[in-house]
Amino acid sequence: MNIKPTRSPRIRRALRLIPAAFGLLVAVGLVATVAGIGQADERGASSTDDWRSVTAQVDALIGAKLAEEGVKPAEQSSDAEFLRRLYLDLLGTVPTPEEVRVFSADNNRSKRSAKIEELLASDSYSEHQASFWFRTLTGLSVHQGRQREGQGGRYVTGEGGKNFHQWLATQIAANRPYNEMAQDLISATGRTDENGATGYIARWESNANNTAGAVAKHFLGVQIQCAQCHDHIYEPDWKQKDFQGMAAFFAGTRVQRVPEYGELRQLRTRMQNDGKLPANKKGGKKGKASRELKRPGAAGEGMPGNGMDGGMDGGMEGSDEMGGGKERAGMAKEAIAARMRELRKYANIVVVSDQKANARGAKRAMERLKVAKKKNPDALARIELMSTTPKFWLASEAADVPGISRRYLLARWVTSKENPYFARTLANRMWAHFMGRGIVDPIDDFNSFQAPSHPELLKLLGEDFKTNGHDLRRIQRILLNSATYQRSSRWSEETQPDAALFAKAPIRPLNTEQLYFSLIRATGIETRLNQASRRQQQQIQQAIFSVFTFVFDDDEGKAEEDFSGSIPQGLFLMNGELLQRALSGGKALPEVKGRRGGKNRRRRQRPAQSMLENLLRSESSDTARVSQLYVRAYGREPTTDESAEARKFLKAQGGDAKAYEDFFWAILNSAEFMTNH
Amino acid sequence: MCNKCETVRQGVSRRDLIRYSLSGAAAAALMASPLRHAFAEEGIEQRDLTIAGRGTAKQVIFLYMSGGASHLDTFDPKPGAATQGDSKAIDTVVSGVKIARSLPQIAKHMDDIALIRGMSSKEGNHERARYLMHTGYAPTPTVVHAGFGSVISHELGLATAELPEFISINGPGARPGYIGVKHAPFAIQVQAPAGGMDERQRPGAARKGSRGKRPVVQNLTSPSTVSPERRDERIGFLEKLNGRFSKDRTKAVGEAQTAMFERARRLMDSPKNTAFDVEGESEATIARYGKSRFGMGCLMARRLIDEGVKCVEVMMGGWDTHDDGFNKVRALNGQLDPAVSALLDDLKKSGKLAETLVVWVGDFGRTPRIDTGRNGRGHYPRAWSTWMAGGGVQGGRVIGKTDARAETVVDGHVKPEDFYASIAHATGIDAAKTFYTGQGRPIQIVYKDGRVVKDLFA
Repeated sequence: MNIKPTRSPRIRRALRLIPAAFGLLVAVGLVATVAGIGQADERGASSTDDWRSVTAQVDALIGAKLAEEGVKPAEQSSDAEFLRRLYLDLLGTVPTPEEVRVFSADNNRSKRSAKIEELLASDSYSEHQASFWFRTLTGLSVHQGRQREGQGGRYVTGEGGKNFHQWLATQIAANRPYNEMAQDLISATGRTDENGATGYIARWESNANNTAGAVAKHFLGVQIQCAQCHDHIYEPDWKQKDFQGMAAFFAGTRVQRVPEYGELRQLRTRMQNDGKLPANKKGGKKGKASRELKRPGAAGEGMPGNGMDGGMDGGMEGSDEMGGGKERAGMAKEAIAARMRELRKYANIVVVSDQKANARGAKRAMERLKVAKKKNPDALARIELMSTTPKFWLASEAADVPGISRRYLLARWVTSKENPYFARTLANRMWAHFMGRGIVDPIDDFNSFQAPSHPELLKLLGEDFKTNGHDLRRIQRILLNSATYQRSSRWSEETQPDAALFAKAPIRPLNTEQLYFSLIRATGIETRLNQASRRQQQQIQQAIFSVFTFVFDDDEGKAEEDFSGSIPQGLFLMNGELLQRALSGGKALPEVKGRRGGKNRRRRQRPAQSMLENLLRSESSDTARVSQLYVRAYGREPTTDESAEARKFLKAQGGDAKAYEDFFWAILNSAEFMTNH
Repeated sequence: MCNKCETVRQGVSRRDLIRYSLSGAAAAALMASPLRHAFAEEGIEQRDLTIAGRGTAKQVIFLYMSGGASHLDTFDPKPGAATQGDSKAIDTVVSGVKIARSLPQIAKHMDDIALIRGMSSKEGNHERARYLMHTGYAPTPTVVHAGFGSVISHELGLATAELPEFISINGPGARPGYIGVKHAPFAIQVQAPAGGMDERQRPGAARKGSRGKRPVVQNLTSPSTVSPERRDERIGFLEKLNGRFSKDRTKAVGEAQTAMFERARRLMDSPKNTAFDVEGESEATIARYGKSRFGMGCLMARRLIDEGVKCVEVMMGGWDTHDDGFNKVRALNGQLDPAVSALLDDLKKSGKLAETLVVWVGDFGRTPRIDTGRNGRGHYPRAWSTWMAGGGVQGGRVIGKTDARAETVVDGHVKPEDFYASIAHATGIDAAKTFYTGQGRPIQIVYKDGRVVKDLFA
């Protein structure tokens, strides 16, 4: 494993120096980690099949409840159904026609198990799982261009976002134990372009309340922000001081712009003043910009050309205005413009750090605030939190340890085995990811009123996860091999079964990423993309994705089986360029502009053959063509009825290339393609 | 913020709520149940249904100043104060009320406008403030609140409408959140007319050639090769496929998709969609609105309101005036002034103003203390101005007051939730109505502490 330690030297030093003063809980945490490492090593030999007994218990527990309720579960899924679902859940895309063919021809009885192992070991698994975690932890898509979201959303876009995603992918590829990952996420320090793990904290800006709320939701499975303003009304044990105790862990946490951003801003101002320095400023790097960085709250302010003004244009506003300068400033302006271009990539890079959070630190911060004559309510609230004693959620208080950030103390406690919430939250999250609904649902809202549908099951999975090295692949293997996961989504009775019984596979709309990757695969755009250079691929992908996300990504907080769509989605699917091009051939890819329009003349691509055109040439019978298109989109052969119906339609449409466009358009827009089932 | 706890106040147990809110159907059952009544009647204390003006507004236009307009240099000038800087003030048709001199035409409309000078919020970061001022809730990591346009679309919109019921011009500023994608802002882009001004460009900057025409509505027309008949045949076959898939699974999937295409098709085929052809307006009309991007946006808004669209948002950028602020605001006012006054004129002329609430708002105000180094102002949520006109609002009055330096609200404090409680009141929307997020959490339309600003109406 080539995982870089994310602890700062300061913390490492402190850890060496003061074990005695370290406090009981932290010591316990350390022991737990040592034990965890031992297990991680054993995990290498996990080719033993002990997980199979857990899978059997999962099915037994689900089966017992079904029997109790007198519900007969759905039959086992067909191979095709299983394969498509597995690909979408693990890799975020539909299988290729070749993969479908090979799997269906395989007569080995354990082929499903083998396929699960194959996918769990694949590269694209790590990529897709990283996207899943990115979305879970930030609420945003890694592929989204500019973020409209507040709360530091912009810090997980561009370079910072890519780094965060890359960090997640690296951990997953190495099968890093989840407790170690979580510890890094909660306690990471440094620049978002240097230490990817910092993306998580950066996403919540320097807002201690929101960061505490996010960490509690993601790693403890509880919604504590209700107790932010007052004692919780229906959870008598959740007091406002419990919330403040959690928020106090982040009192010292700072998310600030990097120095390059200060320089960029200064250059921008100079540019606007026709190359002159603003009054009282003598150029150089020690000007206002760098001072500004030290001012709490400087981050996030005053960035002209915020997302809204620019529509979807991207980049920094104002860059278009550069051209029209005056002659005398011409030279300087060009140099400035060049430097600005270099610096632009740092615009949303931040550095995550910790100030001393204790009474003395609070006093000092207060003095600084007085000097600055700033009555920033956020800053005042943070100072108050600094002198608040941090307290683990519904557990003991944490003693401040010199030289160690409070965040780090929290990270140790969250991931320690003494914390009863950590493992069950993950187990429930994974269950919901594959089964469509949590054992506790909603998944991030464990509370005393909401009983789990299968308490023993939750306990079983949590315990197994905890005692087997917090191994994400192991718990996925357990769930994916279960009969519960491998049921069909078909249900012939009039009334649907209670979703909490897990009697059938859920039907879920594809998320933006699944839809995008499935579409480019089914239409053959993917094959063309793979022929382009890596850089080009990324550009094209981003170009398509920005349109895509804009159209489809408005469904935050949508219920699982809510399939409603918006008018822009309907228009995009009916009239949009992407589908049109993919269907009708011509340039199958959107054009990518050179950096500066005009200078780098892009090479004109020769109009490519579309997948449909190729199909029409290589296959002569309608039956074979229909079959192929079914396999491409649905991952299965059509039934006799379906094939006949398709041929009838094709004939009515004239039987030519255009008829096939119509046919495939309908296939791609159909519920069977647009859902995971 | 703790909207979630609110509903429990009436002694309805959490367990009931969870049970009732598990699915859409169950939520609907709840809506019809006596429980719902308990929320609606008592959820917000002292909701005064007797205040005049309730439900007068049938349509709403939001004019959103992205970046945060300086209150001192627009609607709350303090002539003679050290914080005033270069901007001058003029009298308006309402005696004793002065606004910035660069807003002469709006000055003549002050008798239509109720000016709120006691606005005060707590978010000083653009993105957070934009969220707050679009939803009435501060952002939190646990839930996505609905932009108020989506609420209006949901509450007032017609299922049979041919145009989308919430259209955002040069936005959008918020997401539909818990209301759902069906009521997402329908985002359209309007450009400045040829040779016109774009508020995002610096005054006097060399204007670059247009970056090429962007269509106002993306994907509104079929590809040239797909005739309406062909399109309908495609959809016909699609419905067959969906029928087959749904038959032994769940009908919900196919039905939802059919509904989506149906709505998109209705828009494509509607004669009303010519409302989007704003450039077909006469030179004279465009000139009246001021030949600017924002002016075209306001003109478009008027056209959409004429067609019955329930809510239109027009975004105007450029207000983040940290540097060279006085010149910049003057130039922005120069675009705001004719656009707003032409819009009010036209709504009045057609008789629509009485039923159309026009709201002017932005991220926040700007620091009264001038940043002398940069000759501009920073972000300032503590005290700022916003206004409303039409839709039952009593014009010609000023509500609230800031101190001599425009730094603190000294009278008539209005919080964002009060602002939205007032808009809900004007439109007859039940501010206490409870929705459920996809995860089953209850949320009220307006944050619980919101109080209607009575002086707007009576």
